[in-house]
Amino acid sequence: MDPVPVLEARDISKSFASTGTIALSGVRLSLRTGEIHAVVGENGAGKSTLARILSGMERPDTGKLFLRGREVRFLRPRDAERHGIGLVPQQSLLAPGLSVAENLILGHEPRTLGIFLDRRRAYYETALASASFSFPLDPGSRISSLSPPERREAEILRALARGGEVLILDEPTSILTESEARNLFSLLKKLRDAGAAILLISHRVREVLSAADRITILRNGSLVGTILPGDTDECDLALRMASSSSCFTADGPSGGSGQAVFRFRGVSLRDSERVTLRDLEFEVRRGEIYGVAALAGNGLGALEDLACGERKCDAGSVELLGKPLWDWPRDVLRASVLAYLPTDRDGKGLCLGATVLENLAARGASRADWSRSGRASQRAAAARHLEEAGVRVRLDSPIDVLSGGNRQRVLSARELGPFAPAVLAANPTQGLDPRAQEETWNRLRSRAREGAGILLLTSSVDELFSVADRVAVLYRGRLTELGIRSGSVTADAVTRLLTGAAS
Amino acid sequence: MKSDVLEHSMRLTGSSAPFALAAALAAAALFILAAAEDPGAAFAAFFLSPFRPTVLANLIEQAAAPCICALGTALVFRSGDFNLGGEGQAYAGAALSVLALLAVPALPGPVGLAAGMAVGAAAGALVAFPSALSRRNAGADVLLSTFLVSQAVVLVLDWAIAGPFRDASSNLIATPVVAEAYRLPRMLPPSWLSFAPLLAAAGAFCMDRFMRTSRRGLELSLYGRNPRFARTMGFRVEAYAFWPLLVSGALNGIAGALLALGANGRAVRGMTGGIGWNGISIALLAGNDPRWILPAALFFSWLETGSRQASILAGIPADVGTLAKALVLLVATARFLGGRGREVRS
Repeated sequence: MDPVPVLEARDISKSFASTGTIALSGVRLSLRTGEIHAVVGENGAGKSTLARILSGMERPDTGKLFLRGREVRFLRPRDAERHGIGLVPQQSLLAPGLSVAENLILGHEPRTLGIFLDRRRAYYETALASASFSFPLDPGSRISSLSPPERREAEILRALARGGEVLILDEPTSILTESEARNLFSLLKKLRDAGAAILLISHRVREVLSAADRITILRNGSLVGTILPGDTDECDLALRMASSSSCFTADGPSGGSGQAVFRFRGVSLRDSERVTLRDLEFEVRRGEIYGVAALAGNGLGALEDLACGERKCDAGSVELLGKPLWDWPRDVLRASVLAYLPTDRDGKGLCLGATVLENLAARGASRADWSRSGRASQRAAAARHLEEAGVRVRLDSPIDVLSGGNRQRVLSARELGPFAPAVLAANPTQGLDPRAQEETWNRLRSRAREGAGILLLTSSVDELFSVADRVAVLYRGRLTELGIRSGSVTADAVTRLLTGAAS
Repeated sequence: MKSDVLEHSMRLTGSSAPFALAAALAAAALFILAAAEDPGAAFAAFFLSPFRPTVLANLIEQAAAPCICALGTALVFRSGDFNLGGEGQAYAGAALSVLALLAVPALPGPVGLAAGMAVGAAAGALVAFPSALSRRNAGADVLLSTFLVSQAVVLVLDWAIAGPFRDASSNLIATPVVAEAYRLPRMLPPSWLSFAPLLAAAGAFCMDRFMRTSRRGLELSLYGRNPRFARTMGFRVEAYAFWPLLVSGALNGIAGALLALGANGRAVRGMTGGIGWNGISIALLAGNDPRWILPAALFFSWLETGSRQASILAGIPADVGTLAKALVLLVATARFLGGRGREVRS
């Protein structure tokens, strides 16, 4: 016999007139106290829309919400908060310039005499909340000075402080590394055991299986079903999420041989954040994918800056195709030699505000004219590359309206469409659903087979083992080569190296 | 904060222009209703009298210089910044073109005129140069540097025109008049209509071609939206931080020279007052789209002419035009009408 769910959604539908898309149609969901309920689906399946409806940020076109069996209507987020529902959105809504405490009370400021902000009480309340959930957060520290996991904690704390009973988390681990994600989940389990109802929006099959008590699957805005984690496994769940019924098949590894594409010789770099790259010595040869894995804060970002030519090393040399990287003219380098998928996709990889076509044409391999005839041929080339990448978007729509997965597809269409002998891929599948992830990996593999040398920088062991031919680990600025990926190199060994457990 | 404003201005195209126009006209109409003894006559003077042939020709001539300023403003907008120094750049163009032509009074007319314009362009570019250089080399704030340099230049030129270069025989605080052969030829006397509007139209055409159909135009606009992206793509970002400001300065200088060598025939103290701001307002109204800049400049010129006519013919304070222009600026910069404001930018 089912207990009365704390929050229940019945037959929720929502469409967006401006884009003509149906985000949700007839979705049902019930959330009980003391459970972690996962909502999974591919990018664009309607997960975030559901979260926004449940937390009062959007109103459904049809359908009803029930709180402990009584119908409720949320006109604005505050209505949901009043009923104890807190949302941790995918993209942080914290004000970076304010402190944790100030963010927590924003909109609910404790006042003295009804006018003045009672700062002391704000700090006290924050410290109390922080301690009661055993978060090690200092109420006075600025949001901008926090690390990504700390920001997530601050978000959760804010949602708890406002709601308390129902916590909705939208892709909470998208900006976290695996170990940080594990910590987050043990925290969520603690909250669950204390009686909270937690709705977890995610597309990461593995973490959902390990953390959730029940799983609701969405596909293209429709409900596929609600299942227990014991009734499924990774492959099965991924299949249920996938919008096409065929299971993706991973291509096998490609073999590396031949001349060096990237060559790092005794490279050292002092980074602003304590991490120092020391004596990096490795090369990436034609036709191979060389994977370097590291957790956040171990120098992977600095290595990315070096490999794309944004920064110069303090000692040693970085060579590309036998020539010092800094001697390549920047425009030639990026136009026809180096393909680059940056970690910061929206900041460095794409130009938000510009159209899809402009983003694609930004890397004119031929530096063709942008004249009318030039544009026509670029349109054709862009359309072809997009089709190869499996993206169906209008060339003239602004890149901003695309989902994360489609943005990544546009990026890889631009970078991996035309052949380049060197490829730098930094966390190329971060935030992608399994299908988009597999597509990206396959493109990298096929580029390697065609003879490109690929340097893959990643913070995911999964990714490292899925695509890299040779693997290395970066820990506190030092690189350990593990050689060819095979039975002798296990994920366990890599994980131990990543965390410094084996040194 | 600045980048928000920029972002917004870049997206302004079209969407809020009708609101701005409607607001300007409504404000003018309300003002006239409130201030006029005979609203009918005042309405006619404001809205219709600018269409009399000579008045219309002058109106078109007056649109040319602000239009050229606005083209430069739009170009700098594209590169992601504001040129607030139009005032000083145009003033320098006006004063130096006149002083140069006073020094060589005997050149053939067209040669002298061309030389005067070239000196004006160079002078405007020179005023913009420190800002461009400091932007490229040190990432200095263009908004501030253009404005400050321009203000200093205005003070120096005010002094020069009132002091060493003043025409003592004139009641105006102004330089002597340049040789008649150097002045813009009048195509429809008694109006002041010259080739300047054609020059403005040609400039708008070239700017439009550049922005929409050239590789560099594309790169410039991508750089303006996201410099980090441009750097990552291997664009020559140093160049894009530099020359749009110089070109804008040169265009402002040309606008100043056109004013000086047209109806005035000399550099008058404060003659370019407001032209820089007009250029910015016009560029905003046109959504920084060169195709709309000439129409927007004509609209502004019509507002000015209408309010002047209404003050002469119907005793309405001439401020009605200023008020209407101010409203255009206000509405054109109001974020909420631009649609996609802060909400979508996390």
